[in-house]
Amino acid sequence: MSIEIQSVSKSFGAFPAVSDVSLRIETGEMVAFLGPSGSGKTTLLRIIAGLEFADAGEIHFHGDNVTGKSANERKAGFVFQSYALFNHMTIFENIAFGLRVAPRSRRLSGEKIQERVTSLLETIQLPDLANRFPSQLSGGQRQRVAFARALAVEPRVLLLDEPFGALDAKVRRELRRWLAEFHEKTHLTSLFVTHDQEEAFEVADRVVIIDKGMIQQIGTPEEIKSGAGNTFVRDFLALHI
Amino acid sequence: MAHKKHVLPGFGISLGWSVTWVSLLVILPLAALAGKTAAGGWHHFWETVTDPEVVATYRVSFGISLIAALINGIFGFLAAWIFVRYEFPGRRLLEAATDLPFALPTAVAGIALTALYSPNEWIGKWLEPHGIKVAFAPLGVLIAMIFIGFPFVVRAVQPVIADLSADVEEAAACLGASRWQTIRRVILPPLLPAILTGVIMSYGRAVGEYGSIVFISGNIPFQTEITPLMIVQKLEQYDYTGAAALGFTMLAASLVIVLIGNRLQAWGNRFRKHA
Repeated sequence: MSIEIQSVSKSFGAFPAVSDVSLRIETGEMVAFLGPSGSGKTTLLRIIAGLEFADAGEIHFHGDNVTGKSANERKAGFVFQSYALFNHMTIFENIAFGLRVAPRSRRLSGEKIQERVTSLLETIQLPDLANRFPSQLSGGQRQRVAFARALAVEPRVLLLDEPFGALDAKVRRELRRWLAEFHEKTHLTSLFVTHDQEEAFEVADRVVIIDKGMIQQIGTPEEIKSGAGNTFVRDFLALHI
Repeated sequence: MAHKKHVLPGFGISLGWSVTWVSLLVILPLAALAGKTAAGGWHHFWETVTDPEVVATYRVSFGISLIAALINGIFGFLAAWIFVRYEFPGRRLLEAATDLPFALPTAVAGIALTALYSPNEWIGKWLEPHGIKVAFAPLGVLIAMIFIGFPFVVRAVQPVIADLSADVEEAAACLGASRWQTIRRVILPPLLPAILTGVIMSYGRAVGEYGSIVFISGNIPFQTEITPLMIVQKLEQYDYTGAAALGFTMLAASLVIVLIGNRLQAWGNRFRKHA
């Protein structure tokens, strides 16, 4: 499903977090928002999810104007840096949550939920942890559970906010590869926020470099690495290489 | 015995101090109470604690207290929620006012409530024509118990609500949960142990309450008399073993309440143990 961002602006008090951003993300694309902290990339992602509302501009999901819709109507799969798992529920119940709260008319039967959760546990390679609690899992395992939970409701888009930010380098690389493979298989339209250019260049089809709430450059990893960007982009990339 | 090394020094002396302290201040007086009760003999004990007028007071002291504690559980949670999540003019003042029942001498509370709810007073005169009797009726006892127990729930729950991170609520919303489903399935379960703590403390406080209730209840036998009042009456009649017998009964009941409370909390916390 495509996402269209039309002239979106948002400020917090006097601070402009996002200034007049327009962008179109095609169906099946994996796009990275890359930028330093405070650049507005997370705010933009949250506006797309319906967790923040833009002061101006519109968001369209596949031609459907969702600007005024709340997060629970948009149902974008969202993965948080902090995992945001429900600590009082088992891994199974965490993943099943979105299925259990569905309106009665569309709710799956108990068996179907069991089936779906079991297959998701396979997908994230944690088939034996269904009855554990989040506090018994490592950071990498928790983040995989958060993925499974987001995927359980078959979202039309997947939004990831610094998904690997809290993990150590090794787990980060593993999960990054896993995410790339997952996207290769499913082609679920995905957007992820990162400040790590290596991550952005390795995983994304297109990278959007953001600073001061504005898009500085859009391009494939190759185009951006070729150094055609403005002063900010060149400085930002050089700083991290 | 091998000397075990501890990270924190002074384990021996602090343990010794704590045990002495608890023994002198808690266990010794309770033992004395048991001793005094035993001195009166089994027959006297049984006769005292099963006296019909006394039995009627249990209903008030333990029954109405429970209703008050449950009501406090609901409204104390709501108040704590509002204090943490919303900013509104007068919030700080209202928060400070919540603590007043902690500090206020209970007799003052009793006088204040009686002044409001007596048949000829501010609120009482509006309720009286509708047949609602508050002062000198069980309803008045309930209101006094709610009044004195309310801050326990607010103070127990408030810091836990402040600790809840917003991201789990956002995660629930993104998964399609309505606001109500989020509250019921995501917010309330982790708060339940704190709410239970508040309810139990509020219950314990109401069971033992004397000062505010004797003013508003009118102390009508078989209706609004509370057990602590029976103890005071026995003391006034120099029936010390009788007073001790009632005291011992209340002690035993309180112990049961505390144990049940602990079990409930362990259950509410079951998902934390694995950390």
